[in-house]
Amino acid sequence: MPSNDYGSMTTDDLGSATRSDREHETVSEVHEEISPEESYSVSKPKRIIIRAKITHDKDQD
Amino acid sequence: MIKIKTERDGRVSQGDVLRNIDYIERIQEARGILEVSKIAFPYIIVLTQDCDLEQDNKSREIPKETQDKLLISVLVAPLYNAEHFFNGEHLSTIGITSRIFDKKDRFADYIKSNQSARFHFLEFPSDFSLVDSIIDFKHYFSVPTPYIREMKKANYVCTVSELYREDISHRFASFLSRIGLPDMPKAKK
Repeated sequence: MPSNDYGSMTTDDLGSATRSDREHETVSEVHEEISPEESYSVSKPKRIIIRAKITHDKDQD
Repeated sequence: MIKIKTERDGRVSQGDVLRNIDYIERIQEARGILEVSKIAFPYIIVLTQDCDLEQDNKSREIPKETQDKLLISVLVAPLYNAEHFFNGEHLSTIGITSRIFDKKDRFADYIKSNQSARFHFLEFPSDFSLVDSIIDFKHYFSVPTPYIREMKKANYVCTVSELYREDISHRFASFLSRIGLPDMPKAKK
């Protein structure tokens, strides 16, 4: 899934990735895992794990 | 069978059924990788008291000097497909094994007639697209108010009518306020 789909998922929104050095952080290379489907699982809860690489861009400070 | 409304009003209401609502389980960062684990629930029902939701909405639409009526989060509970539930597989896709109910199991009948405090059985009108569903009051969770307000715009399904939502609310409050008593040793005969 392209990272643009998560355009609003900045590290500030997610809270846990703030840093004191005030470097600008962006989330890129988003990877999404969805729990395995079963044939009968149309309306069952799914676990979704999103992994995203955080990059630091000092130029944007 | 319950009664429902399908006209979407302008705010989140108690008894609203919404689809595809996420519950954030965990957010962690390690070595530059941010990992977010969430559970996507196909359907949820709103449990927060309606007067609180109304006051929250007014507070957002007509800003005042103080915002003490704003809600930080809204209480919801998942709706599970009743057939999946009785087959013990409603949470199988997130790695949770549940009890399987035999067709002759009397406890299943208790659940269907809302005599079990933990569960609430919902039979939607036959001309509506939702199958028989079960609320498990142990699985309540909260979602941020701005998030659910946004989701109401795109993911609204229906609203359980007042009398039936009051029934759900009353049973939920009763379940949540139950008093756990210790197991007492059996008396010697």
